[in-house]
Amino acid sequence: MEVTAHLNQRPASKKNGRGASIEYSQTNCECKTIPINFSQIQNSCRILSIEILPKFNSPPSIIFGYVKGTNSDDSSSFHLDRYQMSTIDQGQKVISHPCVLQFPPKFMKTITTKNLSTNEMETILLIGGGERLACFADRSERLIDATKSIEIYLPELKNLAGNVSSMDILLISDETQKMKQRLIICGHSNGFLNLTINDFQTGEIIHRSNEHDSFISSVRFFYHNYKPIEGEEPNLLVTSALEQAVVYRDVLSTHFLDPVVLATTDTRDCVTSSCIVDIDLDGKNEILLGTYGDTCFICRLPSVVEQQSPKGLSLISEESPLYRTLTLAASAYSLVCVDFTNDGLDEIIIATTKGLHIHQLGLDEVMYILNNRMEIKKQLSLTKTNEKNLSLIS
Amino acid sequence: MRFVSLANTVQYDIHGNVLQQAICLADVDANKSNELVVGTFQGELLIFKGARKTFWKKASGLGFIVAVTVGIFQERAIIFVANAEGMLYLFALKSTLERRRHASADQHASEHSYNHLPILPASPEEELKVSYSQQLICNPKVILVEEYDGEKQLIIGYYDQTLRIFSCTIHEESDARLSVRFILKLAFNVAGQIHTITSNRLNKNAYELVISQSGGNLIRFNPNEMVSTDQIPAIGRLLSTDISKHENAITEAISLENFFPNITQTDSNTVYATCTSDGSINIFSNNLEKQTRSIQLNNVLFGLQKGDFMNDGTNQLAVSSWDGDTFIIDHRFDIIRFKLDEKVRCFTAGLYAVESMNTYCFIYVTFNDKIVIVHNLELSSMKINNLATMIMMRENKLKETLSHLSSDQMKQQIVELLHTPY
Repeated sequence: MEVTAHLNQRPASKKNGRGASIEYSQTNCECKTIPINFSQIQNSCRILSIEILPKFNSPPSIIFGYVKGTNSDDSSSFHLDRYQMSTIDQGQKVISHPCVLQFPPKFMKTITTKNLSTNEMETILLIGGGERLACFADRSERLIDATKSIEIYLPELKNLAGNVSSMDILLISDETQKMKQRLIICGHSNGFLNLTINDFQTGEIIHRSNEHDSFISSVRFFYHNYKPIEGEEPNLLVTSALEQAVVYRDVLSTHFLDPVVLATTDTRDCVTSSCIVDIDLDGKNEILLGTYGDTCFICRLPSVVEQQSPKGLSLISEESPLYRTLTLAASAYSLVCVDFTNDGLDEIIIATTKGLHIHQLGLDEVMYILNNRMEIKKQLSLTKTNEKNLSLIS
Repeated sequence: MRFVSLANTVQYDIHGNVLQQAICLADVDANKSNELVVGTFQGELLIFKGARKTFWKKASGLGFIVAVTVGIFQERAIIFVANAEGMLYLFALKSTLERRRHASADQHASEHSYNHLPILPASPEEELKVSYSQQLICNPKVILVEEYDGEKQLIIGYYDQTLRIFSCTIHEESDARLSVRFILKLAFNVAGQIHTITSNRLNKNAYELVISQSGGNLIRFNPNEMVSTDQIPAIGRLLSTDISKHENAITEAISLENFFPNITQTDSNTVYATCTSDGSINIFSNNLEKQTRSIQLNNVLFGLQKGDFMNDGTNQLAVSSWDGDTFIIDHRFDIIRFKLDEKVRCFTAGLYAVESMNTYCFIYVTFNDKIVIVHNLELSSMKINNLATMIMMRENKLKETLSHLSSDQMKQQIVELLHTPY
């Protein structure tokens, strides 16, 4: 079986219009690098942003926004184009339907959401950089401007300012898997944070905002437990260029009122990217922060003291949450945790200005943990069946 | 290229500069674990052992040390130290066992004759005494000890483009002093500056040498064949290659055994590896006639070493650069890169016992007067293994439980177990 992991964060060099996708083959345990040549990009072009557009039953395509011309605003023009991803055996395919924009496409994010007018699921592309947040719909391999009808996709984002630098979405479902709430957090380049909570049951939309001192580099919703326990509220991680990373606890009920600063996370220059993963396999999520100062911080949040309460991280601001520091070859600009090797174990993938770091847990230790847990699980199930039998007899 | 972060380090303080040829790893006290021997510009010979914070042995006043090597004479390790003036110092350390025997004998003697005076333990800064010294020709650069037909030979490469080979006889006196005789066997002038000399054992009794010179020129020859048969060495025995774009690029060469796996022919099992200061790394066939692999890196490379760093039964290459980047290269030319946070002026890699056992280590002398030993490399494989394959490879209960499941079910089961602490 072959696994393809396409990194969804800027896989291309801005300078020469070339990029690469990395493919892992499980059969011979080797990584292949597939070069991507953005043929549309000429010498005078500069890529501003890149995003993956997923497609059902076929490889995704890369959408890239670029600026053509010199730096002076008068002569430069802004464009959007796509590149069809494929495996190395199938050959590469470039679909070019260039689309001219009126503003620099500095930020892009794809979201799969329901079209309220047709009641069908659609993938839309949000683009920041203009006065307002723009929205494009994917129609027969062409990107159509749907900014005016953004209400039918995401009504809470209507009239949102265009200087978005980071975004995250969290969907909360009830026991019957029916969508209950949708939380969207937008970080802006001027330090503003916009939180919207769309309650599908009441139809109410709550808007909350907060201000930081500098460019918001990443925002992430997360639960403290890897498998959220019933009634657990999500938390929000915010990283910005000049400040320490901040966790807003229980955003659903307290919004921005309960912040906790992750001390010492500003010691290695600005935090450029973040990621949430249970890397120490204790069932609790850790926060990973990639910094400009050649380091990746792994922050471990203390386990909940009040076991009864589903709420809350028992984190004290003065405590340094740093669990481990990974030294990188160069400045990190993107960080993802994916199961690259398709074995159930997440790998940390860090894109730096000099190359890609793939960190994997020591497999011998992981196997030791698995063996132990399997034994305990068996014993637990045995005791349970014994108890059941006893109760039946009595 | 794969980047790794190696966290386990031991640091020692050192004063003064160290030349690349003046650092080596060897078992100098016959305890089956290696020590680090370092000679400095300030004339200090320092021996480091284990993870202790300072040196274990020290000798000073040895002049400007340019090269250090260790040879085994009658199962006794002898340290050869050459300084720029051509003075050769020899040190012979007693094995740990012998020292204990002497100590206990002394203890008995003292108990009887000195009225039970307590014996003080040996100071860790125990001064190392010169066992023998002799003035040879000045300006040596590289020294090497080899054996030819039962005879020990001292090979010295000089800054003045000369190679001299001395036959060497050493007898040990009872008080740890040495009686030594050097006889000049061969003096050989080469065209360019000698950078490194490496030897390759042809059989139990014979060896051949490869001298690397500026600009990537390599010379391979058998010095003893030249002496015994009086042949003109150019006939079929002298070969040179030109691998560097820069005329003056510093070139290093090493013989490399067991680099390619699954080679059955014994004669082609050894290849030669070279690195140049302009960043090229090359692999040459056994007779230097064919360049089998080549790669160009963007760093100033030095300190080419070999070792089974991956623990996979084959040797890999390790090379460092001034800015602290270390590259580990395997037979597929897959590269692992490790960055030390400091600038490096001297690098070696090999077996060293930080704890009781010899393990592969990277050793750096930095510009901040420090020796950094990176141990516990744990560079298991160049390949990115995956958990599913590893479970199927091992015979354990995990395999028994999971092997009958489909790959998706198995993955689900693993995820369930991994993130549920029991």
